[in-house]
Amino acid sequence: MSYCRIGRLGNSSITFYKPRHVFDINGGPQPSGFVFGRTADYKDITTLKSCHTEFRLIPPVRLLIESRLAIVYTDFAICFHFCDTATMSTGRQYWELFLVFFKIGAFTFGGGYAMIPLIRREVVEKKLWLDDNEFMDMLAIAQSMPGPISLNTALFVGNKRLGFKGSLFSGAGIILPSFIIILLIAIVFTQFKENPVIERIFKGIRPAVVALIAAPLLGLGKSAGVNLKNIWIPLTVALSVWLLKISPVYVILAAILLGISHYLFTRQTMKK
Amino acid sequence: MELTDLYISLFLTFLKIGVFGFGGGYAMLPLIQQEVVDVHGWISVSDFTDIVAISQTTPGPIAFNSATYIGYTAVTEMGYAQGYGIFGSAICTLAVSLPSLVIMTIVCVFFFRLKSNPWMQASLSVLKPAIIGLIASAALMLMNGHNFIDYKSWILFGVVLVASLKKVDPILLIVLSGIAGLFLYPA
Repeated sequence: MSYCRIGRLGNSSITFYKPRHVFDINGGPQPSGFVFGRTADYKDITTLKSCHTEFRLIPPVRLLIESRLAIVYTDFAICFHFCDTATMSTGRQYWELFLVFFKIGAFTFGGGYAMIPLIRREVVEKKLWLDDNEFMDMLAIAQSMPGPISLNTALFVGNKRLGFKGSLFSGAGIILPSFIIILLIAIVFTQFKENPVIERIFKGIRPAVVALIAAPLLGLGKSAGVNLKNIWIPLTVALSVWLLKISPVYVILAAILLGISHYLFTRQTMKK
Repeated sequence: MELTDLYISLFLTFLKIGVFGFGGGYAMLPLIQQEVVDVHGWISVSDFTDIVAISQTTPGPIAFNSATYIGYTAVTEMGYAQGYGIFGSAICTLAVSLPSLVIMTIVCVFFFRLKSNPWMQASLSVLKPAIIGLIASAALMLMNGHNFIDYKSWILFGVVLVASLKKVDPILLIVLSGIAGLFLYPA
């Protein structure tokens, strides 16, 4: 087994074995191996990730297969990440971003809050794209912006990782599963809607749906900080939208304006 | 209505829903319902409830699910072929996610300044309780004669409410209430 040392990349030195034309380092083809052996300088994965731009992969599939075979010779964790992120061609990284969020989009039922633990596992624990603090901060932002939380999260992670184009891939990944499923249901369901059996089933389901919307209200209210002092806000909103048929658009604008004017008012009284 | 007009009005409506979709999920329901059922009349109230039911049993957020479904049905109900309906649902899904794309791109630039921004905190202090009110109004708007046809509906509602508070899986509850409907309303 011949080892060839590539030299320093960032803070780290990497040793490859099997000198072959697998990597294309900094341009032109150079004889190099694909999986590095002893990696004394790699104390953590972040260092490894920081040098990923210096590699370009020529045959990604072959590398992936060979890397799995060569695990014996390398530190498993580093090998895994090296193959998955560090040596991936940019096109493959976009594709990976798409796939991760496609998986999240396809397996989270109910949307919203049910998705968060799954997204965290993929993005923080498996892929190490964000650390826990960043993830919590991002979640706070995603929740306070318009649009579904899962989409906002996907767009944020995509953008943080590979810029605007990355967010296009992650966004498409999270949207596509539900788009395909609902489209199929719409095509089938519109043909069976008049079916008496389907109608009977939905007669039972409709009140259940309303109950499922109403049930989490108490818990959500608590976590949104609703107390006796501001309980009038949700009550007014609910009544004005329900009975007066006021558009939620105006309600949201009014809520933002009210919050800001309250802030201005308290700031002014504080100054005095 | 001309097909292009329909596409444009679907696009604009869902763009509006995307822009004002604070709180995600259930909080977006009253806005979607008002626009789609009351203003444009693309689908009926019971159809809308069915979409919510389908959303709860399939993956993905309700906003996308209703956009995809309504985009398809609004076009096909007008008598156009399926292919036009699929294009319609693509337009709606794109429209509802476009505002998020723009906003999150901006947010990524200002991320760390936004987090501790007092203006942001100030507007959220009222917006958060207001979102709870929006979810409540979603439930109230769906409590109508179309969805609650007799006393059996209210019994089902009560049972599911209690079961849901006891953390029974919502998908299981929907399946069970569907079976219950089959027995409670004989042909």
